Amino acid sequence: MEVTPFELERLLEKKMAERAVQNLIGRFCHLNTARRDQDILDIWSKAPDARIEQPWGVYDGTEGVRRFFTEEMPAHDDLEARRGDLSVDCLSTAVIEVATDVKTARGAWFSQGIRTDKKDGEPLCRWYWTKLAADFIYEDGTWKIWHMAVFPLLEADYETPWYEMPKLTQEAFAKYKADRAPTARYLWSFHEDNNYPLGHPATPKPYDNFDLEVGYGY
Amino acid sequence: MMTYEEMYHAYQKLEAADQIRNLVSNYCFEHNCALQMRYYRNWSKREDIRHEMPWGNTTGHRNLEYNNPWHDVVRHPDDAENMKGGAMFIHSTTTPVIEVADDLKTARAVFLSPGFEGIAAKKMGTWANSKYAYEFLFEDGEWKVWKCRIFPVFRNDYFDDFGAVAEEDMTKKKRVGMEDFHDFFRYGPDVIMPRNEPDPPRPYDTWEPGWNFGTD
Repeated sequence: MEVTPFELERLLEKKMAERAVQNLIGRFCHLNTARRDQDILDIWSKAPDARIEQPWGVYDGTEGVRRFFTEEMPAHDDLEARRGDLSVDCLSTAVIEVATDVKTARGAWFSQGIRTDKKDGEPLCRWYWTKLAADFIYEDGTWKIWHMAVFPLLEADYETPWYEMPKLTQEAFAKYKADRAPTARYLWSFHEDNNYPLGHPATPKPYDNFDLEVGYGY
Repeated sequence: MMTYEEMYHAYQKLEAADQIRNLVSNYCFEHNCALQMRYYRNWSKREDIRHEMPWGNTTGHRNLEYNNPWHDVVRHPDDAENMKGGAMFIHSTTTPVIEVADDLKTARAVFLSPGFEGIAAKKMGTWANSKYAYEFLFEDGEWKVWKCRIFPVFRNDYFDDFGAVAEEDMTKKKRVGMEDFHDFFRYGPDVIMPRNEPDPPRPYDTWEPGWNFGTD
């Protein structure tokens, strides 16, 4: 098959974008271990529809994303809140698709995460495996995180087998104040009353141009 | 429209990042089964190679070899017996940030590493979670490790949650060739995750001193 120089350039641009997106999501996870909120906001799109979805709801726009990282999560400068805080997301199992027009990209990962919550003033160590899905956009000459959505896989206290954890319900997230309800139709947790949901999230498929109605957290 | 030279340069940067990923992954496979001697081949020939571990830092080839746990294991019959009794050291590398210099002579990378270790004969099993940071050199047509630093997150017994502060003091494991120590983070209920340990590398044109894995 003959590839014209123009086509070859497009192919290269897609591979360069794939590498950039892999680095970008890795950078996000590394920054988040130290709750570096301002640095995270710097790698997030300034588009009006930027957002992040958590299992309890969606935070919309630049202000919503800022509020999530600086008010809903321990802020970087709040050393007392960060004392004993552990938030590590180790990403694997990548599915990355770059649009043919190389203006956007989409990705999904498994995350072998760990967390500590505070319980009676003491850290409560938890297994926190999730699936993380994100849309990316090429903005002002660099790739940015545009939409992100986090889907629970396995949440359990360190000492409790995950099959003995209570069924996860929205009441568990009452302390959070999202802008709107989650788009995920199903709050998964490993429990005998739950059936593992399909397409949760749908992994990205090859595409030409971004369709707003399939974006994560739409 | 990119020129032929620009396209070839872009391809070389992409290929370099893949080779570096393979180099680090190979180490994980070799470390897994204690094929440590193979690991030395992955390092640059330069004498300023630097290996910074929780139990001490070394510079140069001789010290790298001497300051390696497996050197001791091979030398001490008891530990050699333990290795026969079933030992494995799993430090998977995930969440990569790999930046290749625009001049294609050096590269920098960080990884998050969930893992575990075990020596069956000692009935020892530990969770071992850490961060890796590297600098690489392109030498004799291959990418080689130039500098490596391990940033521990936690390393605790199987039955202890990672909030339990491990009593193990690695700095007491004095080995031949060890030069100095650096303070390192280990998770506990009263500690705060450092900001820059490591700092994920940013795109760069050519190597200049001072990155030091992004640490302040």
